[in-house]
Amino acid sequence: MDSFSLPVARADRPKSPPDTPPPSPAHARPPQDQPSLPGAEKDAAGLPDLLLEVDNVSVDLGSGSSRSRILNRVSLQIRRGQTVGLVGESGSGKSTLAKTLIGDLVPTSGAIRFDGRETKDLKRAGLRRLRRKIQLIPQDPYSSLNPRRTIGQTLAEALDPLGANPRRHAADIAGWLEKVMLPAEAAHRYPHEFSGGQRQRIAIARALAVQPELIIADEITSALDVTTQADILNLLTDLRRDLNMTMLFISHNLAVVRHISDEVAVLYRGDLVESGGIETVYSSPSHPYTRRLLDSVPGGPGFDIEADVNGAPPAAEASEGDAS
Amino acid sequence: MAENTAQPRRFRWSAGLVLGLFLIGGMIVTAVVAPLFLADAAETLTPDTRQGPSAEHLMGTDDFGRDILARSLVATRLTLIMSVSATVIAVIGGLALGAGVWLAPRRVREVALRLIEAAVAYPSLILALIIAAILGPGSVTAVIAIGLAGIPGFARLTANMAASVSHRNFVGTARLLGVPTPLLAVRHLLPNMAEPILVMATSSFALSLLEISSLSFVGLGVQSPEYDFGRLLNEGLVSIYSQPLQVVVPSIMLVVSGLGAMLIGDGLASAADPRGGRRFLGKRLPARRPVSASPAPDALLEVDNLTVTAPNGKELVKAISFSIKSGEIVGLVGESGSGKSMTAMTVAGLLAEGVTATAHTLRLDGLDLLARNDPKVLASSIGLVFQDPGTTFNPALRMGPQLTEVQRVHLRRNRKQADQEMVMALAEMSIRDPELRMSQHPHQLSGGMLQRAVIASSTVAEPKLLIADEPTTALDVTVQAEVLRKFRKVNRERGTALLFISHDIGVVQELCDQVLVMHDGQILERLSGRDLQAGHATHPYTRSLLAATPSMIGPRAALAGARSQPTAGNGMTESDQ
Repeated sequence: MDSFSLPVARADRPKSPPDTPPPSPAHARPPQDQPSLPGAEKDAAGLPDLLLEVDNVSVDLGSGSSRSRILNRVSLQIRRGQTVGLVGESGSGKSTLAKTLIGDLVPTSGAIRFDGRETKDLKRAGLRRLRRKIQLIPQDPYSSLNPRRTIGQTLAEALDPLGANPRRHAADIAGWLEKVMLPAEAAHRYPHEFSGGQRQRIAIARALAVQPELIIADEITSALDVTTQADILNLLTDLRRDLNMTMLFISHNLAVVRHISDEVAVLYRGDLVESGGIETVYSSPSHPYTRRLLDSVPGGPGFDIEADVNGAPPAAEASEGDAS
Repeated sequence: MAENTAQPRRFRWSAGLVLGLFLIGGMIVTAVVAPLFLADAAETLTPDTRQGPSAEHLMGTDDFGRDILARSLVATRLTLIMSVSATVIAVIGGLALGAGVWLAPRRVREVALRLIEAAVAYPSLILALIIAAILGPGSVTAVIAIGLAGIPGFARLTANMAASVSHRNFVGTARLLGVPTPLLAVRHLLPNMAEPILVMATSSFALSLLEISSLSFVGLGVQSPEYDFGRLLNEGLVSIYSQPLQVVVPSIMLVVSGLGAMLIGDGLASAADPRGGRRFLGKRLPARRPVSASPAPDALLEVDNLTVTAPNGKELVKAISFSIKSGEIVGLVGESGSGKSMTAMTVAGLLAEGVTATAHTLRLDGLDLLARNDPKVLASSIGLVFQDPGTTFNPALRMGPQLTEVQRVHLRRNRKQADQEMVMALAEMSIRDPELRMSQHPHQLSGGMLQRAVIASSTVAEPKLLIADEPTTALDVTVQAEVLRKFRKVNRERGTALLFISHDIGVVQELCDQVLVMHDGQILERLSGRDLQAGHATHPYTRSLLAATPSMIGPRAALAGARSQPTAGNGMTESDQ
């Protein structure tokens, strides 16, 4: 057993989806279904609670003269059982950070520590095990499922990447489908028979079936209708309570992030400009960009549609440069 | 196909597939049976040389008194065996080479792909001729030569398809699950490449058939005393004028085999796709022209009993009526499939082919939109803003001519005048250096800037009505705020009426004077933007939309999702209060 695996309780956990919350790791924690208070952030780095630590990570992409810095000395911490919302606009580096965390990109500098261990120290086998502990739910529910494989085959692959036999894992598959509120017979059907929201629930079931320690949800509700989005958000809320899920929730929708997250981190052009407890940041942002972002949400408290009509100075050009 | 029949999914038989199977089945039966019964007639030399068709020899006899029909039928076996063998070599070799190239390190892959492309560009028959000439003539040589010549085509197809399939999300996810690369190829790549490979395999079979026959025909393939279709053609050529049937019969056999293989390929490809074969209702409702409900004389846009019907007879918009007053902003809000975009596009006169719209009244300020209108009048009456500013413009052209097109083409402004007006309009939309922007290409401007440029160009002709279909959905939130303010500015300063389509209830409540809530082709509720903002919605569906929308303030209550909703919005229990 490599030192990467969790405390004993979790390593020996049966593969079937738990009907009750999974046994907690050795150290007891307070129930996680309440949003954390700002005061709870005083857990310093290094305590066992810390699952993921992104420490001064920079990522450069491209080569030669086209080389550019996508992430600039970003630091971020996620503790077990917490959901951290990552917000930012296009080009802010949200997806780059996600790709770096799942190992598709390698940081130019800085360190990523998962469960207290530096990922760059890991050998091949350790990296493979790490990959299963961090699961990504992609944005597009249409290209995330193989159209030629039944839902059962897709979930069986998550349970057992080598065998992937849907009959042998039928009970587990039915259990996970039930967790995301789909009938067991869905296992025999193909992705095209499901709606976008149902597909997204299948993608969530696949990620959960691996029993990962960290789930990265990359804009998973942005392709969905608002009521379908509400279903997914409710589902995630339930799953967080039942499975003590740890999640990095990436979204450009600030209201959605507020609904699901305990903490929030704001990325702006590769810089992490602000992070903290969700209510603290939303009610009194310290960085001007966060302020501007929050005031841009239509229906939010700071939004003013008449700004231009009343002759307020145009703010668009200040931040919005050429696309080239 | 074994996997397909194991699934609870019906195999779809198409006429082409049945015909193809029938043809190839007949060829296979012939290949098995003919040599058993007709070998004597086909191979024994008799004195009845060069006879015409008779009861004894249906297609006559050749130079050595052998029955032409019997020889053609017996030749089927060797021809089919050789063609199938060559195809198998090409497919297996091609798949292996293609997959190997895809798995190889990047540099090796690039070099290998160029080599394969060069091989594909080289005519395969000439390649086969060279191989056959090196190995010496014979049936085995012909199979190897044609098989090898077919490999590059499959290898290129496999490598290219693998590259495109591997970019799809499910491949990345499977990798994250820890699926080893060979399994990844077998489970996720190859099945999603099955259609093109099947089609190519069957057409490759047809091609192999022809190429092997060609080799035999020129004397590099099958050697006497063996004979296949090509060999028969070769033998028949010398007496083509005296005994034309000697060439015609094998030719017909060749055509039938090739055609059968192609038909099977196409049929299998469409049957193998689990997404195919869905049937639409196919019922056509009689067009009707409903009666007027409530005339609104002071309205700028008047829509009365508008029904939009899809080609399959489904009503996308169901007899809706609404009006827009001059200078008013009306929002159409609803989820996907609610018919909001269809309504807007009908007003704009941009119906998709096959879609029919009927209405009692569809009028914009005295202009009957149901009648055929002069595009010049339409262009200056209605302005349009679409969802994705990145696809609104032609990327190959500069911004200026595209922005001033309406003025130049429909309003007969000269170039200089149109440019001047556009520069002013852009400046009004807070676009800095408008002259510079006009000379740039679309990709040099950001999305928000492009959308503001679209607004500028659609308002410069002073239209009475501006229709915006999800104009801020593709934009970042801070950019969206700027664009929404521009819409408000245009409306307030120019008095342009606006029909604004959005799925975002927050956006419409901020921007719109009146909001129409659409669901399933019907308008369920109309209320003012202020009432919506204050939460004074009365219809259960509107309330459920509000309850499903996460809020920026207040407690984080549970959301009401689609699962707790009725389908049509009536008779709903108000449990989400």
